Amino acid sequence: MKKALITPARYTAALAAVSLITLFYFHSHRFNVTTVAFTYLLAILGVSTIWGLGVSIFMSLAATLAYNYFFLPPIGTLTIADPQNWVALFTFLTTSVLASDLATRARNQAAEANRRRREVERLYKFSQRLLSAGNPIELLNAIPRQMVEIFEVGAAALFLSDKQKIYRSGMNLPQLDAEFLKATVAREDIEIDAERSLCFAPLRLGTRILGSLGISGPVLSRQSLEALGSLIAVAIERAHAIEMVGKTEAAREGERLKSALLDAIAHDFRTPLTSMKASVTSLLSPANLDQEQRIELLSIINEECDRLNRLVGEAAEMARLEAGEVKLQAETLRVMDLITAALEVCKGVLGARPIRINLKNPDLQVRADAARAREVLVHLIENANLYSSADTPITISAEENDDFVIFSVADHGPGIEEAELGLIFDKFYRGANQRYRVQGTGMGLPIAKAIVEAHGGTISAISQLGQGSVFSFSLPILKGATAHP
Amino acid sequence: MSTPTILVVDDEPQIRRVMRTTLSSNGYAVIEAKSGEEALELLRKEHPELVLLDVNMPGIGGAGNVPRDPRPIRCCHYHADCPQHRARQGARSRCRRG
Repeated sequence: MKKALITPARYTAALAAVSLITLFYFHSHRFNVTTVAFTYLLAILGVSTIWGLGVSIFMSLAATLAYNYFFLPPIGTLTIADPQNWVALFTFLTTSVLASDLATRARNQAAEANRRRREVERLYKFSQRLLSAGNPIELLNAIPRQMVEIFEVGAAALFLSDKQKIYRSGMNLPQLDAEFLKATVAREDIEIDAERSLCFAPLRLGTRILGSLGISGPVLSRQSLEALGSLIAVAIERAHAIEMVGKTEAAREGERLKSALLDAIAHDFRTPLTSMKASVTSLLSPANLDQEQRIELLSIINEECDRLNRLVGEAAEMARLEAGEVKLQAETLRVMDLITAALEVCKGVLGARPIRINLKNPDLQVRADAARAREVLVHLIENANLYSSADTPITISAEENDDFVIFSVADHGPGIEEAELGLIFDKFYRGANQRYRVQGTGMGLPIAKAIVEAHGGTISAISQLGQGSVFSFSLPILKGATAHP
Repeated sequence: MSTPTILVVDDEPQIRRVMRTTLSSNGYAVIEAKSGEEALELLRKEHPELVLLDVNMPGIGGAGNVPRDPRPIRCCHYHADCPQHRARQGARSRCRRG
């Protein structure tokens, strides 16, 4: 629409320029005809540089007619008396057309060079963005989006042969449908439809075609499309390779964990089984057990059953947390309520032990899964209870720190050695003194760590031998919930 | 003849409970230690006829760290982690007369 208005305007302007020159020289008789011819030529050159060949040829013809009519004798007619003037007129026309052509070519080349430069710049920017994408899924979704953004096209679609899936961005145009994209893969060549402003390019990696690319909007050059196709193919291949390496690494780590789990399970499960077996053997033997001894052995069996049951439960939970199968149901919780709920759970084991709660802001809130967050606190409180004598207090504190609430549970136990501190959160780690524990599975701290990390927080411990230990963990505050989903 | 005394050394409290109950039902006096160090400490005061010692314990304990005592004491090692078969075999093979 815009273009349809611009072109006649240019022709009119060219005609106006010729008219003005003619008018000026026709009324002032001081200049000779050569000057007039050169002035026309100058104007034509100017027009051809700015507006191209079409307008300048039209202007050349108009100027030739005006030159002949107004300045070459006999003036006022389109005939020429002197044969010399025929030569002059012909030379003028030829020169003006040739000069127009040259100027237009120079102009087109400059424009082409400029366009190429812009395309190269965009390709560079595009490749940079592709490199920064993380996993393959993220990358595949980012490619059409980045094409629309960087190349300023109306819509882009990416088709992958192995997945038979199309990733789109921009307007959802029917022209960029699966048929066209699949046809491009089969054709293995670029197709540019300038009329409908569509381009299709295969994603070529060496001799393989990974898929195809469709763009609607400003038509890109063939070279750019080729580069885009290769660039995207390489980026997809690279992302897949990185993912493969990650998977192999994860599989190896999984194997290592499995064997560690088996070792730990072997010990943890056998100990209660040994107690149970020994008790049952005694009960079945003809030994002279009195009533009290029978009850003692039966209660050992009962307690060890509970211990095994808890072990199985914790091992299963650890496995679920590890596999990322635990879905957190984050909600806004009052820190005070969380601590109260945890203490309620621990009430039985804590007995008469003094508990101190240090909470400056009683309305402090966190964004967490209520049951899981309580579980972490329970693990830490039970741990503190196990490792410190019954008359010493346990202090539970919580305070705000940036987007997190830092919880800490402090005891006055014997403390943990420096070398051991870094290992206590490891799965199945058995500390030098850990086996003195009365009850416990050794999985409490790793489970607490997994839960805290699933919330986007961290857990740590500091300790001083002979003074006690402080276990701290962070959970996101409401306002930080989006930053740490 | 007074009641024979047996010293049970094991870090697992439940295992000690089973042993105490079973052995006392058979007419033995039982004293307990939860580590090799504690056992040595007890041996200075008490004179058990037999020591039952867990092989796999943190600190002093196990076959390599038999409390050397000049007095004639029977010491029997066992492995609480083992299934009963291996434990019995292990205990027999490691039994020594002091």
